[in-house]
Amino acid sequence: MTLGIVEGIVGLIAWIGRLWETSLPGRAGRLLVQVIASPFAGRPATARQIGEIFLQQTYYTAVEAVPIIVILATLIGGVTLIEFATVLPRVGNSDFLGDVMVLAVLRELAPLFTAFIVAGRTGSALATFIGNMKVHGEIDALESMGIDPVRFLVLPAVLGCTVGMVCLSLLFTASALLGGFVVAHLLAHLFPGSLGLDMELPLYLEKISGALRLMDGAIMVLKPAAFGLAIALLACMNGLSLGISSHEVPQGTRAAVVQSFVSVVAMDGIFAAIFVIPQLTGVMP
Amino acid sequence: MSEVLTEACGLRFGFQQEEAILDGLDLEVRRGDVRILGGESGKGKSTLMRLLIGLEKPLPDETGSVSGQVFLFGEDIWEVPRLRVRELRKRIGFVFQNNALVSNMSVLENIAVPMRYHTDLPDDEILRSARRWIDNLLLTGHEDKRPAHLSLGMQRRAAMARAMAMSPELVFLDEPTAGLDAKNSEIMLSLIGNLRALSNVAILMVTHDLASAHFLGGRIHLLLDGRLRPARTYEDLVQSPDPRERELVRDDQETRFG
Repeated sequence: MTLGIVEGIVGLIAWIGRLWETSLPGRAGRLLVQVIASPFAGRPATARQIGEIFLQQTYYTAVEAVPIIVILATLIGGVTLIEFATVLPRVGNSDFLGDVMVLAVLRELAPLFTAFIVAGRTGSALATFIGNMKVHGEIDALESMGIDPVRFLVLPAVLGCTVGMVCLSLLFTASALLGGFVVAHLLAHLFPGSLGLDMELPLYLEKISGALRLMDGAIMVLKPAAFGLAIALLACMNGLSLGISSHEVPQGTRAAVVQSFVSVVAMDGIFAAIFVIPQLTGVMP
Repeated sequence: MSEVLTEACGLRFGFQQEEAILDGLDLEVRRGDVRILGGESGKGKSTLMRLLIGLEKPLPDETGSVSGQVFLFGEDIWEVPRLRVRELRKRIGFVFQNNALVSNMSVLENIAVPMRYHTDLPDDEILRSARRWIDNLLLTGHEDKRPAHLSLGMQRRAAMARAMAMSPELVFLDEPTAGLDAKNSEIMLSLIGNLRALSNVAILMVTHDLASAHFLGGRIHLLLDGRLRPARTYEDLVQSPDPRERELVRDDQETRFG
């Protein structure tokens, strides 16, 4: 009887283990462990081994996406500022404009919108690139030369995408807060009296800086870093898991982008649970 | 007897358990050997090469472990850690049938990849060495081109240069003349012959062009019924009493001479 219970528990643990192994977080987690271990497996990784792909990835993720991020952030920042500047006076809370802009733009909109852009641009390109390498036997060719594809391809791509994502999210925040102010003012001049924004730039900046807390600085870096890491890992994982047929490449790319979107939103919820809920309950200042 | 570089013992492989295409196969390649694998298409010759360097895993036996053993430089590649297998692979070269050059790198960068990854040599020395291979394999003037901008023959020679870049002790050639015209096939075979004369590298080559064995001075193993027949010369096979062996040689002659 006791033996049967023990066997049942062992079987249940084994089943959960198998389920975890085949699940999306389990597979991505396994690749993350390989990525972390790869620089130390065998000869320590050298800058020459990973530098070139890291720089290419950072350039593609961050530098090439600057125009689209600046345009998008300025428009979103402008719309957000107009909405809050119009609504807050009606509810008698005009003084909180800085707080709500920091909360909305810096904590939520910047990391999320940047992540969606990076998932669409970098995630899809990375999954296609690695997927094509897989189906054309280039990954096998690297293996045949004793080259670890995780160290050679995945590690620099993940580092590049993560660094690029953090830079882009900071740029989004700055563009949304400053560019948004310019857009909102232009609109206020075009439609005088219809918008509630009658604030000059120094006062606006004072309100924003007054609303910033140390925690915001941490979130501003940690959130996009986690999103960038997830996007790159999922892209590489989907690319590497393809077989030998070319028709699998678009399927892998689609899976990488969809999984990235869902993962980013899910991780955003986790960040909210970690940073926002303790603040609401007074546990965290 | 010279040192055994790679060895397969009782190897079983199939894409499904019940359909083993390699069934209890044995093979041994020693230092300086030239071994040619011939046989019908789709019967596992290329798969055997991939098995020998651990890119494919043999079928499990009744106990669930791999059936048969594969030794590379004396070490069982399914027993040693993955990291060790990668160390062993530094001592081999592999030319894939589809060349498998990294598509977003130039010919020069493709050849430099293994040296940049595995050695601490200064970059200018690596590039000098890569350029030497480019000259040896008649690719001068094409070093900055991407693989897609090369002819099939040039791609094959670039893949050969990459395989030779680390001065391997054993080279696996998977159909090195497949898809090439007669002239390019002869160039490829004569380059392989030159490389062998220069470095005494051991060669294991899969080909339908069995007469090339005669050219390279190697012996031929025919893969029939999932096992390798004993090594023979091309002339022995032409006069073989076994009609299946004669037929394979005749197919080869028809392909070669039309």
